[in-house]
Amino acid sequence: MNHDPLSDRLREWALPPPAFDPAFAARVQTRLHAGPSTGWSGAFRLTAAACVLLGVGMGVAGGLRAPAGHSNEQLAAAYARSIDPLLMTADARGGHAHP
Amino acid sequence: MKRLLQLVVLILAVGGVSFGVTRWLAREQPPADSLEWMTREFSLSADQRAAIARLQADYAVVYEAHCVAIMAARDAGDPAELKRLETVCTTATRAHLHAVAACMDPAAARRFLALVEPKLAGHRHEAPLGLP
Repeated sequence: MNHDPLSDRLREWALPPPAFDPAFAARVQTRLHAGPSTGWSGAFRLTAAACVLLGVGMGVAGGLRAPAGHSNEQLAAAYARSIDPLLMTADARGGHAHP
Repeated sequence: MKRLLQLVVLILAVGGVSFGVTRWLAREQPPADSLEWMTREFSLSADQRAAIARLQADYAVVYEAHCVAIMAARDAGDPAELKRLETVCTTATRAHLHAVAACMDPAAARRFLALVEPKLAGHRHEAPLGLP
């Protein structure tokens, strides 16, 4: 008669009882009640930092490219008026004040 | 969607602040007078600036006399005198402008004349004193 050692082993084999964590259920409940995370995740923070850089870049570029308050054309026109009696008297006729 | 909105608001806010700060830092004080403008814009040396200041002081007397004469002729309703003054003033103004340009370096003088000369009344194809 053949004796199969595997059958003996299988007969003796029993699963160990699972480790019981009495706080597990409480922790799950706590997380369920806390709801989804409202903080900024790592990826979102990275995107926000990129957006800050983009905003700074666009703002600085726009600020540098925007026309200055006193253009050369305006200053040249004021100078021409200050040396040309025809322009000055035409301004006076139109009601402009003498500078 | 809410996060996208947050990012858009962030870009707009940061961009707006950056724009304002850049404009504020890059602002230029307007020149106090024409001589300061020319000095800054056409890189005048101290000698060039002094020469132009002398020219301007001399021309101020002529300029004032021309203004007074034009106003007097206009008050008198004398079109012939106004026509004559128009020619005289145009010639004198142009001569002064070229005298000022002659004090500058050649490249600056060309740029100066190209900028100012088209703005003189005599340069336009119209009667500056309203004459036919």
